[in-house]
Amino acid sequence: MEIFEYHFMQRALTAGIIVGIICPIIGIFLVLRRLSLIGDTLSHISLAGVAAGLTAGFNATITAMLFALGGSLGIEYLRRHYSKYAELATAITMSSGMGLAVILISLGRGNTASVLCYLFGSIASVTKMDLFIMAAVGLIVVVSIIVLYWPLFFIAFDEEGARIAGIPVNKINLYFTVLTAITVAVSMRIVGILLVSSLMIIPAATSMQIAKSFKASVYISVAAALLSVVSGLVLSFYFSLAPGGTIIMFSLFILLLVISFKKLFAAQK
Amino acid sequence: MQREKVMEKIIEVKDITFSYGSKTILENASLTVFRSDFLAVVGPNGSGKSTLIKLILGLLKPQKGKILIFNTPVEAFNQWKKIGYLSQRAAFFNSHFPATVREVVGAQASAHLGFLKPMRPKDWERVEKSLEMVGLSELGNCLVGRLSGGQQQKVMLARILVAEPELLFLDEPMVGLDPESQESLYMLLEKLHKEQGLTIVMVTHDISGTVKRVNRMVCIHQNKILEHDPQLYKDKKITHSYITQLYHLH
Ligand SMILES: Nc1ncnc2c1ncn2[C@@H]1O[C@H](COP(=O)(O)OP(=O)(O)OP(=O)(O)O)[C@@H](O)[C@H]1O
Ligand SMILES: [Mg+2]
Repeated sequence: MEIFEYHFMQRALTAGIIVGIICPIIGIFLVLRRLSLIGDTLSHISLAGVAAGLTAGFNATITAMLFALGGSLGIEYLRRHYSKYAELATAITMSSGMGLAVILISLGRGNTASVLCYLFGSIASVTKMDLFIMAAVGLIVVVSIIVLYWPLFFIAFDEEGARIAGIPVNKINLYFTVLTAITVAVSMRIVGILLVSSLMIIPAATSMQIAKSFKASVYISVAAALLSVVSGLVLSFYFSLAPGGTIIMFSLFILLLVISFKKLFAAQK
Repeated sequence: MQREKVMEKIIEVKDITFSYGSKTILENASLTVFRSDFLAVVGPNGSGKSTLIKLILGLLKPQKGKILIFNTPVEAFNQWKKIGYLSQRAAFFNSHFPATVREVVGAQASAHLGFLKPMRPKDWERVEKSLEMVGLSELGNCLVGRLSGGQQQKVMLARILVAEPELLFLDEPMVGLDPESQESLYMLLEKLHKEQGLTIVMVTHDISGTVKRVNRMVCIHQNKILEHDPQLYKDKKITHSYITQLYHLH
């Protein structure tokens, strides 16, 4: 196929596959813990990181990752202060990220085009360096989730019980937020800052419609995300659409399909 | 007393005072639990039964006094594997939560293996065994969110039992169970208590069902923990006390 003859497309698809695996496996835990907003928050912070990187002339993926890491520590810190209002911690962090991003973007005159690449995602601009960072982050995320699978699952349905069972809940929460931060930072290259959290949330929501076990829901959400990313990238290539938007619309399409099939199936019984 | 010399103290609550803000719940209250006690904690709503359990578990900190479990101050205690806790909550699984009964109990088993240790086949056998104990063998593959409140309560119990604890805290375990399930839970607890010498601390409002089975009973009354002999209530020797009034006994 013609599409695979372009080097940038090969890189974009490889990057897409990495993103399509790590976003949903982080997302399913976020959804189950009702922390869906965290993805959005960290992506706003990443935007500030991107602006800082572009202004200062560093690799924007790396600065975005550093900012997201800082933001994740901020969220954890605030969450302990507002333990009963966890969403306040995310809201405060999101606002600070956005404020900082706007200032930094206005400072770095002339870079608006590159900022837009990050805002909406861009497949033409994935560099070898980006790919290398993504592969490293992908490996870290996948291995961490495999190793922490049971404790993370336990915390998702009963945090207090997990504490009593001797699981180091605070440390795991902190580490998981860090994983979320680096996932957001590397994924925005493909889907765009504005849509990263959708790729974490929608496949998870899809899997929860049909999964018959937790393990199945992890697999289904990864399958749904991979299908969306690959189809989205191919469609955006042939029809010159924004890749991020196409990917997300495709994942929504899968969600709607699943819901309709479920309804149909239930009606027949 | 003879008994105190011989028996191992598992929980010691020494002179604790606890309040939520300005609302005092316990004042200079004390309680000692020995190994293999089956202790009922009774008292009116809001008297502080759940609070007492949370204090013993270190989930709340007393303003004054000391709490020891297995001879260790609770702040320094780390052998949580020995302890099972069923908190007072009704339906706790959101109906869309995508996890099977077996997975939920498995998570608990895995936590007790120690951090980062993988589940082995024999750990899954323990999961099956505890599902069987609470009568959930058939429902292992069901989604927890789809179970009834009483069935979910049994899942919670299976989770606790899978770790093979030495000390159980049950905060109103009978709530939401049908009479038959209540009876079989009582039988299971009695069996574990008699055969394995399990120590059980159970908060309950079901006095008449409880006094037949427990060997000790305390009531939280006016910020104190007061001991009562369950035998006297069972034999209906006591006809006038705040307990008989509260629970409309006899
Ligand atoms: N987190 C809290 N903050 C403030 N007050 C609380 C808190 N938890 C409980 N209380 C108060 O402390 C008192 C004791 O509560 P607790 O839950 O221990 O009662 P209980 O004896 O278990 O009651 P029930 O039989 O209804 O379960 C109640 O009056 C309650 O209003
Ligand atoms: Mg209570």
